[in-house]
Amino acid sequence: MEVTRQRVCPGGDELPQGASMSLSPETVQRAARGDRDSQQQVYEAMSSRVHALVRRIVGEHAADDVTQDVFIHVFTKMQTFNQESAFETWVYRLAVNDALQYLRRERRRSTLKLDESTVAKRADRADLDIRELIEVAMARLETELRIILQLKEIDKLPYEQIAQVVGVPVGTVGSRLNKARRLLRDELRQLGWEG
Amino acid sequence: MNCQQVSANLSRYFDGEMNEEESRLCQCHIDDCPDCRAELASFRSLSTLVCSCQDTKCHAPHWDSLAERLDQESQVELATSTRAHSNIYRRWTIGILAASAASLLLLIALPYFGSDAKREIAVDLSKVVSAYAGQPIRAWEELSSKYAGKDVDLVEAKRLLGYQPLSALRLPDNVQLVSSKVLSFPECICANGKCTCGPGGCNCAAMLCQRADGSQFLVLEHCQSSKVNYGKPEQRLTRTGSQPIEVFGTENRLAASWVHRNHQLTAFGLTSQAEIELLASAGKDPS
Repeated sequence: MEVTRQRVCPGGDELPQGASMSLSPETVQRAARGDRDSQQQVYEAMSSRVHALVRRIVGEHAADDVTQDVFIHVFTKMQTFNQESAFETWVYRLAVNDALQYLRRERRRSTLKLDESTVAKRADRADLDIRELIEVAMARLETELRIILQLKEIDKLPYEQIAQVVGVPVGTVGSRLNKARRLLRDELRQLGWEG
Repeated sequence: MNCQQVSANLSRYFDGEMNEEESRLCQCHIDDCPDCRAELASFRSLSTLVCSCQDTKCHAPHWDSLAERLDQESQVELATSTRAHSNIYRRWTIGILAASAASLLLLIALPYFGSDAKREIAVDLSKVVSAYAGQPIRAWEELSSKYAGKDVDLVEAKRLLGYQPLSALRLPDNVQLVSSKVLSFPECICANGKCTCGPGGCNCAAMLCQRADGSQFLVLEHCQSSKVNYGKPEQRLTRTGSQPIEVFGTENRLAASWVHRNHQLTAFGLTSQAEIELLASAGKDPS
């Protein structure tokens, strides 16, 4: 299995792994004042991770629209960012809230849950590759567990930041991660993973 | 540490979130315990698998499409402000009249709003309170329809709200919960980083309770930081060492609202002051 650690942004730039996204406070301030170039820098530094997180919550079909809504929200509310948390944490928190709002609106309209039909169809297939296997297993977890797992395993956030993003006490993050990891492992094993 | 303790803290150990001493104790146990070692190994394999299978391409929409939307929104704002500017002279006379009327209204309303006038009101429940103080079912239907009430059990309610609803209440022995919903308030406006509610932000629990005689009352519970206007109370009951209880309605058709710790609780369909005091007594802070 090929392991690639690089990420490619819309502009083609590579993003480092981990929580640091190398945005200077000056860039954030200029973006908050409406400077388009700085807003573009913010977007290109963060959109990949935000999109991945949003996709994990709302599913593939709505991820683009919700991600755009998140950044419109970010740029219109940036002046209220009071630096009590890291800027990235604040953006993640808005992303989680907007994605969950989207899910609630969709459920009120009685539409399908997170890519339910697609996931169900894929799960029936015997030729799932390992990436699809993870998608299927992840989709079976509760939304909050998916979010926490994504923030830890992919975004490598420390527990304190995860707690701020999700809005739970720091002490709860570990127990939720325990639950998420065990459930995901069991789901994967049910789907044939031998890890 | 024993197996149970290690199991409960395995993610903290795996993610390096333990202090040195905890980590050492955990490590000692894992070295001697094949079961815990296998569990840890499965976490490690899972983590490697998830990371290695992460999609490496960025699928976010291109910046240009977002920039276009931002420009459109700016133009809408600009057009609104330009229209307002060009009409300013035509509206001058009307403006003076409107300002006078607003001042008059403000003078009348000041005693009612008091310091709350400065608060940002996100949710206005004053009409629901004044119309349905004594009609919990109507209030329940109205609120559910207006704020997308979702039927939940208490476990799901706790997950969505970030706290166990009803825990701040002293429900009489012969009262039982018959139905519960979570209402979606428009947005969480807690100070950034201060919200302790669930992953969906500041929502509201709506719980229908039934007395032994079959009559019902409704309890709303939300984070105190949610700016909700309940309107002007008919009376305020003061409690030693606690914030007052605001009482709405008359005689035996009452609603009441009070704060316990950081929760705002509001009950519809109460029948007496004694019942109000009983419900709110759990919320009395130690003096």
